[in-house]
Amino acid sequence: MKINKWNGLVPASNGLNSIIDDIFNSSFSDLVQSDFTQTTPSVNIVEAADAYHIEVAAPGLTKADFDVQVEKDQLTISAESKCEDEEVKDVAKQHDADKDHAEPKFSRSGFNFSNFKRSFHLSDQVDINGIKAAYTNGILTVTISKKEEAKEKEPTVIEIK
Amino acid sequence: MTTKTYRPRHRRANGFFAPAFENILHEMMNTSVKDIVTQKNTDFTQPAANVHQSDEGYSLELALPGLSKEDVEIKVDKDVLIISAAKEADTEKNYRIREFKYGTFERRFRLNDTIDQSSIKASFANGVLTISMDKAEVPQPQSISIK
Repeated sequence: MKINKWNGLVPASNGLNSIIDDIFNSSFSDLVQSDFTQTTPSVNIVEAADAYHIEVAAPGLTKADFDVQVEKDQLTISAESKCEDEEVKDVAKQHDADKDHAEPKFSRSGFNFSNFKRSFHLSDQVDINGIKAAYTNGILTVTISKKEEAKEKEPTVIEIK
Repeated sequence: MTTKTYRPRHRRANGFFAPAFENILHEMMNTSVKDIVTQKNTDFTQPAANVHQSDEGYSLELALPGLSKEDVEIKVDKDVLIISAAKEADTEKNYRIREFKYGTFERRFRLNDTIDQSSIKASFANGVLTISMDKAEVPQPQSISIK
């Protein structure tokens, strides 16, 4: 008589655990297998007593890459890469070549700020001749000073005689 | 049975939607479920990463505008590369619009065994942290003579 050995319900230890681990420990983008390439930089606008500061988070560039222009009441901040990024082109070529390859090589592109344009409307409370820009630590800060009458001043105290 | 993950070609979001929507989408796609569940760092912007591969090795770029190299800590724990920072946000400034907040974050990357861990180097310039690593030397088959 042949006795059939049956292991019964064995917890699918390694296989299932690692799937659950993957779901909870990897970013959603790993699951979806895509990182949306961020090409438009985020901005913060800070209001100080005497000026507005526009902080543009565009790391990986040099100050020569930026172009800040004012036309009437519109401020446009942009960057244009003059030459094609060689590395990015090579990566794209690799992708095409590997589509039929047994083992897909992978590269992920999460950000690339070499080409963007963002515009802002300037109110008439700002002095368009007093616009300065500086690029440090990957943030371009554009400072727009307010007109005299718009600046915050101490409230005037009126004496009672 | 070994599972092989197939990574299809990544999609590019090239500015079709308004920047505000793209940022939300980017945040959705790059926040891990674990972080949301443990209420960790969800206020801060999670930095985006680029990975490039060459014949000699890999390079990983992390977008960290506003941070400097003193703020960032890089560790390798067995086969996981952990990059983190714990910088407090600026509470004094009056933000009319706030689309990014870089300061505290942690990102982990699994290093497979094709990477030579002793060759990992990091540099920081213009708000981009670049970590480069070489591929490990493939051990050549050795022939052993029989005495």
